Amino acid sequence: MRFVLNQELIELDDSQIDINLSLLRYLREFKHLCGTKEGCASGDCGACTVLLGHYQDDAIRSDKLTSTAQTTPPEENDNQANKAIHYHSVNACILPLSAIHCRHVVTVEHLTQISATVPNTSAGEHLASLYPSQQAMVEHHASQCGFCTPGFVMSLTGLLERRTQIKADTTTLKESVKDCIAGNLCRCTGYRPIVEAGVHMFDLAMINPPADLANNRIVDTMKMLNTYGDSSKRTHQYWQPVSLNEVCNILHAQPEARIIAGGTDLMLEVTQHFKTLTKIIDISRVAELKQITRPAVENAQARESKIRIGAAVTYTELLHAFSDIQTLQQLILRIGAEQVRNRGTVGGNIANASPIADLPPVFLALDANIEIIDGQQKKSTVNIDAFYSGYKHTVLNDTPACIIAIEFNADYLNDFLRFYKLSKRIEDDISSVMTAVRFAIENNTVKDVRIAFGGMAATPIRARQSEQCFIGKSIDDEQTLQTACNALRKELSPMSDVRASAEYRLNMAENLLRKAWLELNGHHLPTINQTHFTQSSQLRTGEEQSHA
Amino acid sequence: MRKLPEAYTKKSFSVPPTATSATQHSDNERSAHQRKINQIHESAIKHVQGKAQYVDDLPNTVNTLHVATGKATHANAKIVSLNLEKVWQAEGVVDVIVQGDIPGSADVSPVFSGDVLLAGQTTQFVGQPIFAVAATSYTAAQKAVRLAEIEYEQQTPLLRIQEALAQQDFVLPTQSFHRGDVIKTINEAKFSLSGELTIRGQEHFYLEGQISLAQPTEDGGIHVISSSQHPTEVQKLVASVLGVPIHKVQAEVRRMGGGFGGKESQAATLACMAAVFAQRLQQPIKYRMSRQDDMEQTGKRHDFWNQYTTAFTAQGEILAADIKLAGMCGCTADLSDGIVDRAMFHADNAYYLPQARITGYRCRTDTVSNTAFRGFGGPQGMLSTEAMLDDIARAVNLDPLDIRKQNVYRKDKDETPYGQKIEESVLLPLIEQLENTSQYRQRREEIHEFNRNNRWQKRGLALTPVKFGISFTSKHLNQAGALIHVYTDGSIHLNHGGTEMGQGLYTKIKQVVAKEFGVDSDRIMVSAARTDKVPNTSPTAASAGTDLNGMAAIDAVNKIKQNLFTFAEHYYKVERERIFIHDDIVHVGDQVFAFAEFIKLAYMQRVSLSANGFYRTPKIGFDRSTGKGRPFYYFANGAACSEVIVDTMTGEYKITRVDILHDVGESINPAVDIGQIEGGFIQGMGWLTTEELLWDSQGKLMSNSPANYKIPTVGDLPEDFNVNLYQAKNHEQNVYSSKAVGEPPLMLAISVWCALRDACASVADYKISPPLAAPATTEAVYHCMQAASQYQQSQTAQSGQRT
Ligand SMILES: Cc1cc2nc3c(=O)[nH]c(=O)nc-3n(C[C@H](O)[C@H](O)[C@H](O)COP(=O)(O)OP(=O)(O)OC[C@H]3O[C@@H](n4cnc5c(N)ncnc54)[C@H](O)[C@@H]3O)c2cc1C
Ligand code: FES
Ligand code: FES
Repeated sequence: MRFVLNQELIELDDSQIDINLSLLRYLREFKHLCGTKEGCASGDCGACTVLLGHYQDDAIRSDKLTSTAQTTPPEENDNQANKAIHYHSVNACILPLSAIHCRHVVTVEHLTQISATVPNTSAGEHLASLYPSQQAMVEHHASQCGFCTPGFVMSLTGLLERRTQIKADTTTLKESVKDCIAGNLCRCTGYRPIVEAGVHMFDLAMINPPADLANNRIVDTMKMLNTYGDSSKRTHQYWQPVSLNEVCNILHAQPEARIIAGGTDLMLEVTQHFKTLTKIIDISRVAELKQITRPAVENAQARESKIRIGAAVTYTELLHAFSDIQTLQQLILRIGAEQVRNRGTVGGNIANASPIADLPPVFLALDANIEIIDGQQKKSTVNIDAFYSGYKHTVLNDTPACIIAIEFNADYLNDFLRFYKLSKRIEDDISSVMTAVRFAIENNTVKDVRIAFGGMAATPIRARQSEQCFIGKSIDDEQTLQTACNALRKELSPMSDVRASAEYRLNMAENLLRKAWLELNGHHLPTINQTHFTQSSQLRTGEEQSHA
Repeated sequence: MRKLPEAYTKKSFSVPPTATSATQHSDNERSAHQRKINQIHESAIKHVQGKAQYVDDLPNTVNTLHVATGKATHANAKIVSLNLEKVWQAEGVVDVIVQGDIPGSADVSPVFSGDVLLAGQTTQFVGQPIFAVAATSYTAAQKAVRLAEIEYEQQTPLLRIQEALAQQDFVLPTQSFHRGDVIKTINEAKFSLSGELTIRGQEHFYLEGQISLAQPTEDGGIHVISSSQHPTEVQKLVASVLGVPIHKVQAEVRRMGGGFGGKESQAATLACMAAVFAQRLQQPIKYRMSRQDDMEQTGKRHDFWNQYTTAFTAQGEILAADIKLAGMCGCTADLSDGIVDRAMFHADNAYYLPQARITGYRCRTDTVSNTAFRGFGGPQGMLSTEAMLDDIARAVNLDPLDIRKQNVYRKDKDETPYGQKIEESVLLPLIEQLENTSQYRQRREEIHEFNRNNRWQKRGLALTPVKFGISFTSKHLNQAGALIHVYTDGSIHLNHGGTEMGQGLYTKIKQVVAKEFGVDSDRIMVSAARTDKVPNTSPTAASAGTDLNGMAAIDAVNKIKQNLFTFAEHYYKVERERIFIHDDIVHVGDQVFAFAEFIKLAYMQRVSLSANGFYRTPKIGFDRSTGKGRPFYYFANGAACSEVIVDTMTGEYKITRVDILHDVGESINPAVDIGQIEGGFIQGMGWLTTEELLWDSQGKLMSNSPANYKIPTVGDLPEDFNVNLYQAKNHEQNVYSSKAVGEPPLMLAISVWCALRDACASVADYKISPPLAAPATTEAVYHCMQAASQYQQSQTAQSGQRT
């Protein structure tokens, strides 16, 4: 495999790499780049944040512009559109080294190296080698023990890289700074100075534009890797196919191999439970699995049109494609934090079969179908409701297969939809209760309804009895709501655990259904913990969803 | 051409004040001064570049081995058999040890006894190390320890404070102090109330986990580099487990990636384990805990169960309080004696209790031994009293702030239950200033209005003070040493017994030395704390780092200056009064010398340019037998006003505004101090909101990773967050009239908890104080809200019946 690490082209013999080795351990133990820290090795603290760049050649870039017509256009202040290499922040601790073939890895050490080359730094030795994100952190006293600091610097650098041209007002800017560091824990500072540093770095960058993360030489190298570094040639324990066909062939030949997409769940088996994975199929480069098909709004009325989301689509990609669906956007913003959202995928969330995963209830509410392919190239479709058969058990446990995509009626997005996530902490926390509700209304009567939950049973679950109560009833009939709530209590069987008690979970299932019903009936129930999604906030204005 | 703001062209890189109103008002003239005192953290530039080295970043020698431990899966169980065959055979394993392999003492207790490096016949808690492995890699060691076959004979573990109290199972004897006939007063009073509060502990979650690196020396000793707040204890305990004299061991600490008390006593265990292997194998040994091991194997803030009964007047003036504080110490004493003591010393918080009985229980449980955590028991002692003040306010139907102001220490009502006088009158003026600047009264009205008109959301407000005693309550710890060398080029090497964990101690001491010397702080290099430079040090704790080490450093500077000035006096025949150093220039009568030039001259004339300094805190002393004395040199004060908004359906909430006014005396470095205040506040807020420490029924820690134990993230930051420094000097002769700042701000977060309870109380029209757990998780707030609305419903039902 080949990749660029900061300024250096690295070529490694795949057969010599332990596929369980994380990028973080590689950096620290093999390259002695100890600026990237380990605080948890589980994706929770962000101390290991690095930037991962991928080359976007002109063809792909122009292609993307046309094909994303159905999805949301790139953010207004998008600085990456005209750049050859796009960067996003990731947690190096749960990223297998093997996954970064053909990528540009940028660590905190790189910032010092490239800043050192800025001419005319008359400021004396101290300032000579600081990148705007670093300088702003220093100026705002944003480090105390300093252990979290490189991680914050990298998250901020990622933001700066995406949006050098900041036209936004300070409040919006502040919100995007907060977004980008929500996955970085700091136990010392209380964050206020870090947020201020994040805002200030844009001023510094404006006065003194920093050097590009990739100079021409790096861009050329990345271009070269992109042209010749065919992932599918890698055939030693870690397969990185680029087509679905190849996935099937490998599945067939290596039935015991584990599929990895983002690795944000799978890698915890290695870093937390010290298990050894022996064979891995990395599906994150398979073009067919990365596609989102979303018919234009006008066509959505057509009964037949479907929305299709590829299994390897990341949360970040999903967010951009559906940022107009307020309730979905709000939910996605509360899944993990940026580093996790940049890697974690829709397929992984479904396949992992966690009863507290956030998207399965959403897809239950949308009555989605999961398309699967096995080693024999046999495709099948199963409704998500039939996908889960028991605790952490799915149809995939019976035959090794790969999820291709998830599909649902585009029209459903026009129904009344509400997704509510409850957790102890607002950002980067796992749900204690996840509720997804969809009401299809005709003439003030409930025509169809889906009520689904996470955290209320051994699997993501639909509350069928409760749903039944609403069918054919008038939407504003409070008695119906009460019957439905009573039904909920009978059909849900939550547990008490570290996140919440069974009693609270039951009460919340009921209250959140009540909340959805009140909103359906026009009550305004403001959300206390509104998450701001600033990157596309300008886009959203004017085309706010009008539900029901 | 890179143009720099004026601030950076200064040779000494310091930063203009930016963020807080505390420093905003500075005019031009003051801002030069501000830059000087708002010096950046001495490692800030290294931090942002990733160049600051933590123990795990030091270059590994090729033969470094890595340690992991096999953990007990049952608490209070007999180990029936221990089969380590497979562990020995695992890939990469070089050595495996059990308790019997420890050459010296297996007991690694800081003060008392019972903390063993490896479990013997019985286990004390789930997660306790039973055996340890040294292997060629971290992963190999972790994989190997999972292969042990251990059989236990299980016994029921004791897990709850209440059970320990019932069984009188204590790690140390119960203590109490009192004033007046409390019981009589309470029994005879017209108004009295009782309450209880379960307060959960807190995981430190320092970002850098526990770690030590031990290297054998040629003398049969050990050089250990560790992430510890207490190098002297590391040194002492390593010597003790190895059975060698203390002088064979050197402990070194350059910096920690956070400590918060968690690395005060319990960091030594890792050093000891690494040292045992290093001595056996004569190889460098690194022991870094995985985050999960760290969370399961090291102690936390104590859970407390507090009970109070208080008598008061119709106006809410406290007449007497009977307060019982029961701390969950875990399986051994560790530092619990001082921690429960400090809880007791802070049960009055800022209020005069004319009659009081305060009792502290040290409960033993079959869980990991709890330890120091920022505030050291103080926060737990204060929280129930603040709850009590709210209860009184609602009982007499007055605003809680009025009740607080009425009872706060003041002239003639200035003696604590343990007999120490409150000599400064800071508390009341400070509270009143904050009351004004936070517009408390106006917002109280607005909130009433809002709550009347909103069913789904309720807002709450609370203003609570903090008074925190500064000094170690163990008197002997209140001492410190420093070592200063001036080299012939005029550069200065500074070393002291304090450790840097992010609190800015090194930065401040550097400033203190620069100021005392009269030189530019760029001359000074602060070096790692080492037991062979400054010996017999106290832990960097009790907020006293700057106080103690600063004074010791001043002493050292003055010794060197004494040498220099005596030399100048004789050499140049100038009176002593006309010799001084200012702004890097040595003035000898009418002659001036550059500092370096003068130092070279002094050297040539054989003047000693090195000195050690020493300090012991004056005035303090407390007599346990009478329960009276002066445990604290002085008190640090502060107050916070917090506002929250709560969703009545779910218990979700948000902290909308926080105003803080805090007393740090004359600040040595306002930027550093404000950093401590904000960071301490957010940490305290985490303790009382999202951080829920939970054990299961078998004593296994359920909240054992950052995936299920949630410290605050940036989104939890109050939307509006104003921090100001109260302008006053320390009336005691503390270093440059400053006050300690490390711990006290954590307790400002009690205002958040009180505000949440206030929001819930609004549902019952403030007629009751509904019970709220600590931490006030969304679930806890929901239950509190439910309790209030049930009360309200029962009231309406009753009045419905009556009419
Ligand atoms: C810090 C952190 C925070 C998180 N927060 C949340 C949260 O808020 N909400 C939430 O729901 N989850 C959360 N997660 C869990 C995780 O990020 C998600 O479940 C994510 O969607 C998993 O996707 P992935 O691509 O990383 O999966 P991977 O780790 O790559 O795979 C997970 C499992 O799915 C299988 N798999 C993946 N793709 C396919 C496919 N196409 N076909 C068949 N099998 C497949 C893998 O074999 C593996 O068993 C969090 C994780 C971390 C580390
Ligand atoms: S080390 Fe904590 S997220 Fe990677
Ligand atoms: S500065 Fe210590 S964790 Fe952030």
